[in-house]
This record gives sequence, structure tokens and C-alpha cells, in this order.
Amino acid sequence: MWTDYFRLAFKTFASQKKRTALTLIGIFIGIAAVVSLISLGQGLKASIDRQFDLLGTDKVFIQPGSSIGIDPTVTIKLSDADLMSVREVSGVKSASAMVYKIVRVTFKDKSKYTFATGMEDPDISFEKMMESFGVELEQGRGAEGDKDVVVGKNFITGGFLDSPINVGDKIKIEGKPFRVVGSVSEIGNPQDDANIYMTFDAGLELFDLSKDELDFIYVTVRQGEEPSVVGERIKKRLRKLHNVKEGDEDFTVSTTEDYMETFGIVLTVVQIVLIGIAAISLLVGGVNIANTMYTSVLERTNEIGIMKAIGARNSDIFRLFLIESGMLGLVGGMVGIAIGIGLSRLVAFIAARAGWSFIQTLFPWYLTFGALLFSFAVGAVAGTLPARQAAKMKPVDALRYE
Amino acid sequence: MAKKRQKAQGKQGGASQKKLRPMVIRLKDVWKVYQMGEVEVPALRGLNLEIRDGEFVAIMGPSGSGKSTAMNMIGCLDIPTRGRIELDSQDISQLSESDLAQIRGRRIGFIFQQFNLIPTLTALENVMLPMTFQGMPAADRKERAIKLLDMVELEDRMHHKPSELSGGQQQRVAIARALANDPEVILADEPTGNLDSKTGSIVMDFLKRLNCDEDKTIIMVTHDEDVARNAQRIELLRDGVVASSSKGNMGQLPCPEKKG
Repeated sequence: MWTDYFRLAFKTFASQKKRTALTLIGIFIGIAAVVSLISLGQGLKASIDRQFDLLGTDKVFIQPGSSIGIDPTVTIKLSDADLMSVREVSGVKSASAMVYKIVRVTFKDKSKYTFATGMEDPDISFEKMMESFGVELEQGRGAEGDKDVVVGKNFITGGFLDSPINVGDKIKIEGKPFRVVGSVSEIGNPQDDANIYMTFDAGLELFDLSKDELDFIYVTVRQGEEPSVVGERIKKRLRKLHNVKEGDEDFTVSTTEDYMETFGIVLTVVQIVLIGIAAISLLVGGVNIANTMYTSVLERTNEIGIMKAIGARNSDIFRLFLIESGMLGLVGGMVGIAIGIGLSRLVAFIAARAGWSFIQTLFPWYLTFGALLFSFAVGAVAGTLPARQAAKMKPVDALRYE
Repeated sequence: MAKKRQKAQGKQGGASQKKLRPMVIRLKDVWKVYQMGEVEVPALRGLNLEIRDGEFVAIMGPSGSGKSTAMNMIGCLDIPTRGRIELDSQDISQLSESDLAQIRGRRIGFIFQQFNLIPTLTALENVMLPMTFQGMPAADRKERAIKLLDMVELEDRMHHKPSELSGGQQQRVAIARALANDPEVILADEPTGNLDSKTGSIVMDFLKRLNCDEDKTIIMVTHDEDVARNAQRIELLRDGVVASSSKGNMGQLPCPEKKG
């Protein structure tokens, strides 16, 4: 029975190819936009989650200022005393200090600006420390001396400073000579892949900073300790040291989970806004289906009369038209999903070519399935009123309609 | 086939035997009043009509006589303002739309002046459609539709769309469609009205054979006296009531032979 209705719907589409195609365009643009945005958003979220996974969930971060993330307007810094106090907090396995600055780097007469980071942890090696940041050494070794630097992947490929740099080469940073002793594997975005890493002392000297001008303290908690609990302890300790009340902190303590949550919220908000805009086009597509169906019902009034005369009940006519509009939505959805997948792959491909391999696409089964179901629902909802109008027609009037 | 015809003719033969056939349709004091703005326009004014099983009745009348309205009532396409319509002694004037649709689909076969085939469907699919609405399995539907198209001598055209068929062929498809659910009553509204006299007479022969061979009750609405004379009985409508009743040629002349 149902298959007959589907066949009848296809017959109608075949006889109205242009109108069907136009109606489908209306719906698949919306679906394609929604699908590509969701898949890119999901891909991005997966990439970020992966980065945090590399970082590990046993980390606590301390920054000057009162918000998560790098804020260039913050002028206050963390002090050596802060670092020492943090190291004394129970549950803290190790605490590294970090300083960073934008520096001018020169190789073979070509100069560019990038981030340089100086970091130190008395307990573990430079290499291990980088790993705990989620950065993996690919070639060479970690920085040991004051003139050693480890560089990002884009230095090695030549993507950053035109000519490729090899481990062992000499480069100039802020006019001072350094030796490249190692390189890290690709992270996936052009900024991070152009980072330079050096020892804490080398950083202090190069950036002309004292030990009391730290940008970041990076804590690894002891095994079995809850990072959020250790974080609270650190907060309490630093409040006492800075002599501030709770809520007035001039520093921020956050865990990996806090970071993930913050990024998650930002990403979700951005996604909701974008998908909301895309959904408007889907709504327009739905209205378009309703319009097509009204036209179709009117045109086929006589046909409806015939079908009723030969035994079609109101419910049969209703179902017939509902399936027709549902099919418009569904087929539009299928095409839309295909285009959406293609579109987001293209975006990811172009982004990867530009060094943003961080931008990836993800097509969870529920996205495809959900988009199909949703597009069918859009079609069916749009077709409800026209189908009801068709079903309610009196057979005599419908037969007489010219 | 010849044996069956003899049997059918035998049934219709004597007047005494005819009375034994049960009543198929009975209209009792049927009124249909249309509301045209403030004015009430009665199309039927207490119409009484009785049609027995196996009869071939023509309903004639000038335009405005109410014959189309009467046909809608008999065909369960519309319900009367007042009065009673019985189909096999069942009062249908109070039934729901859904029930009426089922009755139409199962017990009445329609043949229209405009053929009224679904233009997007092939001849075969058109004949299958009434069975679809009765929920018959696809394989059975197809088998029966092919048989019916074979009967109207269109088996070689069954995959053609209505637009690829001549008027006479379309009407024969419509006849096959009307027979799809093996209804007791065939309701034909000006079946030859859109056909030239030659194809019209072919279609009329098919109708007559349905009455003779298949023993179907046939009710035909027409304004053409020559066409009406094909029936056994002619009911002349005027101003919404039966003005006069007369005998037609059917039953006096032999049934038409199947060609080929």
C-alpha cells in the first residue's frame, strides 16, 4: 500500500520535472548549509578534543589576569614567588614557568614575526615537558643551552620562511644567533606550526624579562589527585600570597577540563548562530514545498475527484499528498547531504592547503540520519495543510472542477 | 460465453422472473437543494427511482432536469438534503465520507464523459488504481487489470499513457477500470458524449455486453435519445422528478457479439 503511494508520488515528480527540481533546490540549499556547518563544527571540536587529550587531563594552568586564554592587554605577570608557592601546594607533581613573546626571526635574509616560548621545569627534561604540552619532538633533541631552539613544522617545510630549515642550521631571533636543535611534528594550524621553543633562561634573556614576569605557570598534578581540587588549593594559596579576597583574584587557575568547557561553549554558540542562519534557508525551503503542494493540489483537483470516485478515502488522498511533499523533502535532503559533505570536505581541503589541517570534517551517522529525517519532516509538515485541503474536497465538486 | 449470455437473457426474459431479481438501488423521495447565496435552488424534488439487479437503465433529461445530481446521488458522490437512498437495502444517505468512498470503490464502477483517467499513469496502472484503494495485493491487482484490459481488447496498449490513446481507447480503459473491483453497478455518465458515432457505438457495445455477459446493472445518464434507446428502460427526468418511464431496445435485440 505504502509503496503504491511512493510510486504515485514519483509519477507526479516525473510529470513535473522542472517544478520538482526547483522545489528540491529550495530544500537542498538549506540542508547542505546545515550539514556542512555541523560537520565542520564537529570536526573542529574533535580536533580540539584531541589536542586536549594530548595535553592530558592532569594539568592545571595559572595565568595572570582574570580570564582564560591569552589576553595581550593584561600587563600584570606572575612572579617567581608565585611559582615557588605553587610548587609547595600538596598534589602538585611539577610546575613549569613559561614566558612568551612575539619575536622577529631571520633565516637567509628573510624575516618574519612569530611566537617564541621559553619554558623550564627543573624536574623533567625539555623534551618531556614539550610532550606534556601536547607537542611532540619529531627531529633532533630538546633545547638545553642558551642558544638552542626547537622549531615548529613550518620552518622545516619552508612554509614559514620560504627556504626550508634543517636541524643544525643557524637562525637569528631579534638579531641574536640561535641554533636549531630540533623540530616538532605538525600541529595543524599555521600559527602553532611556526612556534619557536627555547629554555626559560634563554627566553628571559631574549625577551629582557626578570624571573618575576612570568606569563604562565603550568602544573602537572600527582597521580590520583583531582586536578580541580588541586586547582582550588593553588587558588587559596595564591589568594593568600596576593592578599586578595575570593572573587577578586588577579590570576586565573584552570584545569584542562575548564579549557575544554570554555572552548566547547564558544564553539557551540558559534555553531548555533551559524546553523540558525542556515535553518532560515531551510524554513524558506519548507515554505516553498508548501507552495508547490498547494499548486499541485489545485491543479489536480479533478484527479482528486476521480480518485475519490473510484474509492479513495479522505485518508488515502491525505497520505498521497503528504508522502509526495515528504518525498520532496527527503530527496532534497539526500542531495543536500551529498552537497553538504562535498562542501565541508572542500573547505577542509582548502584549509589544509593553507596550513590549517586543524580544520577537519566529521560525519557522525546521526548527522546524516538526522538530516534525512529532518528534511522529510520539513517536507511532511509543509505538505500537511495542502494535503488536508486535498483530502477535504467533496468528490462532486472536485470532479466538476475545470 | 454463449451459455452465460443465454442464462442472463433467460433471467431478463419473462416479466414474472424479472420481479424476482432483488432491488439494487432505490431512491425514495430524494431532495437535493443547493444554496445559491440567499436563494435555495432545488435540483431534485422528491425523486423516486427503483433499479433492480441486472437492469440496464438510461436516465434522460434536458440540462437542468437534475439528471447529473441524480447520478451523483446514485453514485454515492453526494448525499441528499432529504430522503433515502438505498444500495442493496442499506441506507447510504447517513454514511460517513470514508464509508461512502469504500462503497463507491467496491460496489460502483464509474464511467465518465471525459474518460477521467489519471494522466500520469499508464492504462494498466489506471485499471489497477481502484484495487489499490481497496488494499488488494499488487500481484493480484496486476493479474486482474491485465485480464480486464484483455476483455476491452486493449492488452497491447496497456503500457500507454492516456495521452497516447484515442478517445475510444481511453473510454475502454475507463470501462476496464470501472470493473476493477467487480462492482454490482456500473454508472455511466454520457459515456459516448465525447466520442464520434462509430467509436461511440463500439463503447456502447461493450456496455451492453457487460449487461448481457457479466450481468452487471448499468445506469447510464445521457441527453441523447438514440444512446438512451440502448437501455432496457428509459427514465425521463424533468424538474427533479421522473416525468415518464419507457422501454428501450435492450432485451428486444440480441446482445452484440464479441469481435475478433
